[in-house]
Amino acid sequence: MTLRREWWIQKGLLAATLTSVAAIFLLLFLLLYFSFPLLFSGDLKQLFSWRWNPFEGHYGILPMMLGTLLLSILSTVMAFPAALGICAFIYTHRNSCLSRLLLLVVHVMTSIPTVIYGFVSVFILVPPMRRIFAAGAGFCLLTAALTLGLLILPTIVLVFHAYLTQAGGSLRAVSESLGLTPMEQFCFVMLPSASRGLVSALILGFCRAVGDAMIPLMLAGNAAQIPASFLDSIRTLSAHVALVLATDSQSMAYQSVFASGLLLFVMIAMVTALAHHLNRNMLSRCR
Amino acid sequence: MPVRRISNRVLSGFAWIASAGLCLTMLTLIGFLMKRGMTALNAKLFFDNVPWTAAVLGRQPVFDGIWPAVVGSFYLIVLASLIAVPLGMATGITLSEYASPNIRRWISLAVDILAGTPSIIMGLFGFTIILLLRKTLLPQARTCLLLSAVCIALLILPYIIRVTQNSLEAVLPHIRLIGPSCGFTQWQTICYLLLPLSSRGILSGVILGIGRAAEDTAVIMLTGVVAQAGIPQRLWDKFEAIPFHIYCVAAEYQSVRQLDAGFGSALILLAITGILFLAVTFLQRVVVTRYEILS
Amino acid sequence: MNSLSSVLEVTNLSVWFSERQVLSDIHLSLFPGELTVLIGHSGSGKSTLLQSINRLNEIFPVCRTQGEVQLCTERKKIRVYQSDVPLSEIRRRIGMVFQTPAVLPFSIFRNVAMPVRITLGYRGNVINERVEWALRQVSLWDEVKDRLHKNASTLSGGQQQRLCLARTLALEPDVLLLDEPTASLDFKSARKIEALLGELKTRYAILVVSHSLGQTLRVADRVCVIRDGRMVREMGKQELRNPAEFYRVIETYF
Repeated sequence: MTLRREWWIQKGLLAATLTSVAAIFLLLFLLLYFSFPLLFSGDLKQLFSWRWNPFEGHYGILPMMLGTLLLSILSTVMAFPAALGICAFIYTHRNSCLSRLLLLVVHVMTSIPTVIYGFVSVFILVPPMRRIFAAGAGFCLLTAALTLGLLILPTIVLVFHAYLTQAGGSLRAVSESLGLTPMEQFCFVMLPSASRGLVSALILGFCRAVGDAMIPLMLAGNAAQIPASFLDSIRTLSAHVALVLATDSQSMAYQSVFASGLLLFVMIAMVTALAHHLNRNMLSRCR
Repeated sequence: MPVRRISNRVLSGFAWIASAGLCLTMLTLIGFLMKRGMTALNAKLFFDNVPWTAAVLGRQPVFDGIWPAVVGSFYLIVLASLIAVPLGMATGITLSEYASPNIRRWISLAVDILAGTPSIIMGLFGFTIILLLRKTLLPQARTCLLLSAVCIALLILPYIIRVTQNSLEAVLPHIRLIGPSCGFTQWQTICYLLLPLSSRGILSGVILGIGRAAEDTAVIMLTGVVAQAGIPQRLWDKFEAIPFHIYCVAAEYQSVRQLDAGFGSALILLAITGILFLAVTFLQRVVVTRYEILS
Repeated sequence: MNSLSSVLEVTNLSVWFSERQVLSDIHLSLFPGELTVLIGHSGSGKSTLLQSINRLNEIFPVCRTQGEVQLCTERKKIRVYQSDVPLSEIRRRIGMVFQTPAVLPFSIFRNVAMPVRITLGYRGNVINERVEWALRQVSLWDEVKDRLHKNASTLSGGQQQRLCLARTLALEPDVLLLDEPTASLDFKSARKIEALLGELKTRYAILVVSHSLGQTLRVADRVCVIRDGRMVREMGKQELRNPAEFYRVIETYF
């Protein structure tokens, strides 16, 4: 009797697992299914052009792609030195109240909703930007990148910090015995030995930046154009998806949405695969 | 060695600036929100001019307050958790206890892909489901509360799977052996030994997932949330939600009152996620001390 | 040699981990009222032998087992590796205690009561009686009866190990397998467990893996020496009476 129950439970668990996996595959399938017609029609060339103007029949999504790349690279580049500085601070002041407080702040940051970062930025970042640079409405690449950098900062810090703690221990004792100051330990011993961790952290942060829709939607201005400066408005792929679906338009615009979705997905999958590869290499190294 | 001293100073200075800058930024952000939000928080913000008893009991609809958004968010979170938690836990248990290494690797890859999928794509997925339904079975299908809940569930599913799997696998080997050596069947071992031992870890993962469900805006934006819907009565109704309300205010507020409502909702959302965060922190602290005793 | 029929009989047992043979052609019998000690180098396969007796080795997916283990209870003979008796029943009848005291972070009472409730299906007051009985068996009752509902991790190492023993005894086993039960304990607690084993062997057939030769001399009725997965020497009571002889044998076979 027990065995029979055991069997049923096992089958039940398996069914649930299959449902989860099926959902994942359904996601992939539907996304491919709806962007498939694109690949076999002449519309592809139209989509991969530099002009977006649905009223005149131009449906190019390349500006959005450029916007996504620019914004995510810029925000990662901004977050990177800050994250390094914060990790250095936590390392050099380890076991002190200050570093624990800083870690707590970083943890708290992860729990703050994205939409709140965007909302507050609209009121305390946009007006100064408008005033200082005296150009445009303040909704621009730079504003979005600053906020997005703040959003991905905790991810980078926490992942890198985890790697540092993992590498820690004996390495710290050795470098301490060599007479290095904490800052030198961090720069010349910990940083090189956890460099792969740093790369993983940056990749994760970058992925978050690429995938995020709310910050660019709220702060980047959403003009589908090629920006000439940091103060120009841009539109990202993620924001494009949201914007087009929010305003019902013609079928060609829909197609651009699926193309954008697919592009986003492929970009993130590629970067994730890269991270996986790096991680596996590091694991085998540790063994 | 003056060069060494100088470089040390400069680097430390940079670390100080970065850390202090971060703390200051966060203080400003939260302080600003508090200052603006606190003045806006009152019964009128929630219920407009409807008496709160009538609004809570659903006797009188609220048109201008954020009460429908609060209720909508609540429904959304509950529905999404009802879908994601059982599925995710079952999958996590299978992955850690039943699956062969090969299957485990493949499913893990799929879960990783899902975990990396941005929420806007999850929303797009929901949208394509409706498109598919319209083409095939249900021509009158439209985005709705249920669809949002399904997509949000899919968004938090990988968290729950991962945390269940990891917590179960973290049970120490010699504790794990107690089950079979006492003559437990595999399910009894899981049910009476492994799950109780890893319950706090799993619970904190579930709470993190709920936090994600509460804050996400991109998914619901494409799958059924609207600015004015009232309290949803059925699963296939449109609905309102707090994060979307905040987004709407930021995008197109017209009056000071609307702006105040935006700040109020932002503060409420922050409070919800803050409480969930505190719960997780508390749980994790207890877990850590427990495992210190064990090992 | 004991003239009684054996409680547990291992014949021709071989175990592989992937391609590596860990045990080859092991023959071993356990008799009631007798305490058998397994000694050998670390890595010689002692623990594997113990775990293949109650099929605990099947938890490791790379493990392959050949041969036969037979458990003879009052009513019937159970062939451990090919039988229609459920695996959980077999494992219950062959009780096992590990090297590290594996108490659960639950209360002392629940540590013993939970397995009783689940494997034996007992309910209500029977469980309380059973818990008290088991704790008395390992002379722990007087030490813990006032704090049965305190967390078991507050007990000392020796007490924890005795609690594990009580948990195993509460499940009414026929055979006890102990994997270096005193290895992680201090001298005094170890002596206590040894004395306990001397009492318990009158009721159960016991197989103990030990690292300590002194301990082996103190408690064993029979000693089996394992080297590289083979049983190389068996010593009965007669040989164990003479410690010098015992150490000479150990010198040759280790």
